[in-house]
Amino acid sequence: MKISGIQIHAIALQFFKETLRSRVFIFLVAIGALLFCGAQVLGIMAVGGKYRILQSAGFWIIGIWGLVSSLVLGVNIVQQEIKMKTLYTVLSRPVSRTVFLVGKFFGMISVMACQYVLLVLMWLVQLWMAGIPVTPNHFIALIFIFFEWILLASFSLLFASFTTSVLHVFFLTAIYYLGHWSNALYLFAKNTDNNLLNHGLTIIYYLFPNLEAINFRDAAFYGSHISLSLAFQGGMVAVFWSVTTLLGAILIFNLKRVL
Amino acid sequence: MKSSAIQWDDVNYSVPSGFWMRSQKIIEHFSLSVEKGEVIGLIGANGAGKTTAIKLGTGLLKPDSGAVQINGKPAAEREARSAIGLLTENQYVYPYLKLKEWLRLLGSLSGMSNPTLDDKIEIILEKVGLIEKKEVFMRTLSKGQTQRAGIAQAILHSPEILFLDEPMSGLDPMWRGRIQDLLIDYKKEGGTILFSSHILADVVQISDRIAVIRSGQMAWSGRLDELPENRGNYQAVFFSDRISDLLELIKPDSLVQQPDKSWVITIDVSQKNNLIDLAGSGKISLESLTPVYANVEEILS
Repeated sequence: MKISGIQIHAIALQFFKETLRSRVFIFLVAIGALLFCGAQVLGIMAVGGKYRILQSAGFWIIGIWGLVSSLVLGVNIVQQEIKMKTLYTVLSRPVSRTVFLVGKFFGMISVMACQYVLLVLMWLVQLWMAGIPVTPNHFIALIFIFFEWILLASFSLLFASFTTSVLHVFFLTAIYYLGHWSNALYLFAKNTDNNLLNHGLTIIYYLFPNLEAINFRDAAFYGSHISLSLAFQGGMVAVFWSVTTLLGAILIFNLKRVL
Repeated sequence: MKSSAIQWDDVNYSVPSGFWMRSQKIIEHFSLSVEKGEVIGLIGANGAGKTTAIKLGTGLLKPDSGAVQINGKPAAEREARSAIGLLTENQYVYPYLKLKEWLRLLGSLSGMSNPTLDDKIEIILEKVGLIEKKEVFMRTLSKGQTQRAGIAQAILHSPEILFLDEPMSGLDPMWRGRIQDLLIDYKKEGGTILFSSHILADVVQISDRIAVIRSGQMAWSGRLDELPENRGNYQAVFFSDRISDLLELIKPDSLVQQPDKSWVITIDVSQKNNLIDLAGSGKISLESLTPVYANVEEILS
């Protein structure tokens, strides 16, 4: 167990260092910063709507950056190791494939966490400079956005374990948008008289993670109360999907003929 | 009786190939046993299956049928893999890691931790002459340096068994000799080595036995002196002003004059004594005389 911990730490650290040094990290943060600048310009242009634009654009940028980061970091996380054959040197040591994938996952999360902190800091500075008050709800919404990032990272790892880069991008983007849309699908299913449609849409709802369950951006925006049970439910959704997809990725990677 | 360190037992391995994904056999009924403390040279032409046999031995590949064992345990098991060190033919490195970081990563994966790990890295880097490159990014190392770094990672965790796939590839003559010494020391300490090469001369120096693989099958295995028609040539380097007089006496297979005016000559074994006599009589100034082993594939064909 102790050895597995050392191995996971070593693999995560390798991924972290490689990503930071290959400038992918700087590229991602720089583009994020540019988007914040764009939001600033839009805020100035929108007469009387600056507060609204800076807040919603900020939440949107930080939210979508979870998808972008998961794609950029995850799309080649396994394929690159196979293509560059670096996996040979790693797997010839007493390292299980599970440890390898979990190490990569934590490496990915550590890079994303650094990126997340920088983006959030940029946004908070932007809000502070615009004189927009930051409430505890803002922080709750931000924490749940990071949960969404983790969830997307585990889905990215799942797709990386069995599919090609193009399909990976397609699947993960679909998960993101359908995940944010699945509430609407569920409501539509409940309101329709068509049994077939009802069942079909309900199945789709359960097949995709309900990302709206961990979306507290509106509550932050309008200052509405976030109940503990709602936050708990959101947390459970994030944990359930992250763990399930990670286990799926591990299962597939263990069965796959990679070398 | 010595126990087996590595054992391939009637191993078959194939890969799917072509549109219909028909299986193409890479290794066929391959059996070989390497005793503890023994050094075996695995020889074969390119594409003969040497690398695949090594990958099977290190548990990187699972055989379709048959069994591969390390110290009596299935090679794919974690415990079995903790006893081995692997040097692949080409070094597959993380380009943005520094040499020391790369070794620290691989040492950690073998279960080593600080401060032992850092001390061991320093010692190993000293041995392979890369101590001054420890803070250098892997992508900036030359081919020879990368190969030496590969050797460093293979022996870093003091494994009981070493799998070396073309260990001398990319090394200059000086480093070939030094790595050979390093492997001889490892053998003296009781280590087991299986290494592949298509150059017999590399194998001769340190191997107890050789195994010849052809088209994925074991063609021959035994001691070097048991090789059928193990008759090689000799290569001599000498200086002489009267080369034409000598040619009748030694009947060379090849003759080349080098820029420094020395002659490089390849002669049959039967001509060796004639050449030594010429050197003794002062007609030539002999610089070196080294045996040239014939390609095993040629010998066994």
